[in-house]
Amino acid sequence: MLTDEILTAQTLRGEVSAFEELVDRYKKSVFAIIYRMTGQYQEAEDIAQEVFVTVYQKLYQFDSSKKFAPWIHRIAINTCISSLRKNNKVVLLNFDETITNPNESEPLHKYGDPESALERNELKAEIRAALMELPESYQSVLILRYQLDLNNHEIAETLGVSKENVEVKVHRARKALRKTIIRRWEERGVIDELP
Amino acid sequence: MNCHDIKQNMYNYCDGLVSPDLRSTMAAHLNECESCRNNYQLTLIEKEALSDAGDIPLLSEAFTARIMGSLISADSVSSMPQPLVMSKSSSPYFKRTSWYSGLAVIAAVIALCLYLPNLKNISNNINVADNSSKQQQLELQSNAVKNNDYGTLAKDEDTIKLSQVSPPQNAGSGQSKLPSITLESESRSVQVDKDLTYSPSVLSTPFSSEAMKRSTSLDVGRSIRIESQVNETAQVTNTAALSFSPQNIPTRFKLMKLDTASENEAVYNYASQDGKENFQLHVAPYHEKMMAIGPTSNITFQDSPPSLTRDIQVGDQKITLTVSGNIPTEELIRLVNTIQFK
Repeated sequence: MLTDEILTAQTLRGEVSAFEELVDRYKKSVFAIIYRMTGQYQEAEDIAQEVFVTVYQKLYQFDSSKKFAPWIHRIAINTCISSLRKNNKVVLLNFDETITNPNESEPLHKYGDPESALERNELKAEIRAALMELPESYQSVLILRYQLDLNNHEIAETLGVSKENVEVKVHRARKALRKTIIRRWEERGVIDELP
Repeated sequence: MNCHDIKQNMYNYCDGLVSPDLRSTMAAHLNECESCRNNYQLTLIEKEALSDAGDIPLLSEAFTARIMGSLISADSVSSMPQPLVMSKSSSPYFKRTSWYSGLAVIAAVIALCLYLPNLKNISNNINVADNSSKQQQLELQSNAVKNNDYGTLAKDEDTIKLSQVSPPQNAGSGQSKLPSITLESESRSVQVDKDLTYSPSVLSTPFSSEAMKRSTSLDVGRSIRIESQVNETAQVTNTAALSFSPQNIPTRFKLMKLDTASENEAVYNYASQDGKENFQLHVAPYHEKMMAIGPTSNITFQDSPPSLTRDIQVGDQKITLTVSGNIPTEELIRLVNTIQFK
């Protein structure tokens, strides 16, 4: 099987079929990133299409000494964020702005067994909805880690941060997600129903 | 290990990123502590929700076809990869530096205007010094320096002299046209710009080949000072070369030879420092207004030997850039796609 980098070279030589192969390889992951950030099929598909057109037009900027996957996934994240910003759907917050003191977190025993409060599928939907409320930087790092199952090195390549920072960012993003979930429960009064 | 410690390690525990010892300790704690167990279960569900792609709809079968259709539509020319971005107006580089360039030009013009009274009295007097670091220094001295010997370039015994200083001319409408300076040597003849209206960095361009790393300072007062650091291995086979310097060349490559002997072609010969790789860049025909390069009109690739040709538009003229050599194909492509001229 031809590598991504060879396909990019062939595309630059005018072989359209090579780019078609790249689209087939990455449409699933690109769409997954965007769908997780938008939660809307049509919007996600439109943005995904925009991503691939952008990739095609900017392919000459791709450094073939590096991996293609982080490059295209980064474009997907950035394109999605730009699109969401246009519609004011994105929360602008840097990683470092939400450092929470672990001692300030509420004790979890207060909320009891989460499965007893909501059905498992409902709970997962609730968690995904909470994910979309997170700042874009948190969303992207969690999607790359869990949805795309990337390791720290791959996430670092995609986001353009150091490998050492990725672990910290994932941890903070998870904590922010937990806070958002609990806040949503409290707003809906679900917490009170917990044992 | 208390509940706080457990909580701190919970995400890594659920992600399987803790040591076996810590895993055993945490597992024992979770068996005994209901609060931490609830935390553990919520963390697991979070992970499952984040990892599970079951709720993500499948893209339609036509997705790929739709993208390819949009790329190969009637608008395909504009959507094709546009590797050569050399337009001053569109390049981010020029956007970033336009202020600085503008200020540099203004500063140079002011400096030269201040210098005009002295420039009229410039003698034909150039000192060329060649030190061990191969730094050549040309100094055009004013009459105040009473040394009338022409300088000698020690390295190749090449004498450089100031052959002509055109006096300022009134260009009409109250504006004075600035003087021009011409430097000559046995192998090179260089006019230091026809009207000296450019910045100091441009001032030095005609003298030194693009193989040279130039640094130029323009002293306001009685002397103009031009410094150039010469690449020891570079050869210039041109006379009166006004070539532009290719940018974005990988750092391991050095310009070994610039051949603009033909008026209609410039050939830049590059080689890696270990001598194992080399490539040539042909620019045909050579065009002085290379900076104003327009869009790419055609790309052709030849496998053996690897050669990539790109036609670009400069005003009304088509220019062909060809890169060939024994470098990896991917690098060849990247090179011709990213090369710029400055």
